[in-house]
Amino acid sequence: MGILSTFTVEPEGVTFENQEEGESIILVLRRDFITNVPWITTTLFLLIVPLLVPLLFSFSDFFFFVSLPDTYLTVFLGLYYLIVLGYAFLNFVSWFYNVGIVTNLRVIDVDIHNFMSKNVAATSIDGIVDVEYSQAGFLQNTFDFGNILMQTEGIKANFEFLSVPRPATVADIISDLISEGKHKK
Amino acid sequence: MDITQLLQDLQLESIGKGITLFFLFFFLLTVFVIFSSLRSLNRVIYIKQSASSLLIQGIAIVYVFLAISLFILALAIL
Repeated sequence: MGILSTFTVEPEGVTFENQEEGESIILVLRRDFITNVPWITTTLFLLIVPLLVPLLFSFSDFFFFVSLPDTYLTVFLGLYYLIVLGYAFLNFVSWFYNVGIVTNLRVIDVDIHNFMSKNVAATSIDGIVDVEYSQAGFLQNTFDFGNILMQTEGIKANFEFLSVPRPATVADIISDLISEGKHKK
Repeated sequence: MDITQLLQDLQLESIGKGITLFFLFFFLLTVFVIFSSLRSLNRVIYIKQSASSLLIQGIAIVYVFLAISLFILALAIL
């Protein structure tokens, strides 16, 4: 499974917390890579801002940056680029670790809101009553990604995989697993 | 130059240095706290093949070193 993989069937070398013996991973999903475009664009823009600032202010009387001592300018620029790179890295890691995992026994949804908080929810395949997917809008239809909604029994919370690639295939795989589970019973 | 003016300039410069260094130290602390939680994320899901989890940890370590270097540089040149 590559670093930028968003849809991997039966990946090798992937393990997760609380994986049970005999439990094999069937599907690992991440949000479609196109959903990263907004923060990548913002990062690229922020990277070139320091190059544009002197140009913009050369037409006005505002010479604050020019009048700063070179030592301060070096430190501020270093800090600025570290913050921008940190912003990009945090966004990337947030995308990287937000995964949906489908195993032969259960469905696991890992949500990382920021580095400090994570939410891991799991439900058994038997507990899923219905699977549906939705694709709305130009982007989702063009790049073939969408949301998967899994309804669970009773009062348990429903499961959602948001903006995952090939939602029809994912829904089909989960439906097959549910059917297999019912046949075994 | 008037001695009072000189003292005022020196004080302002010291305050500027103090604020910049405090901000850098705070930034360094935040980076360290946030990135140290990467280890717990790697436990949640670990991708052994292509060493992507290790690569991300490597980038985080390089970033922390860059932040420390900037702090030391600021201490030296300000």
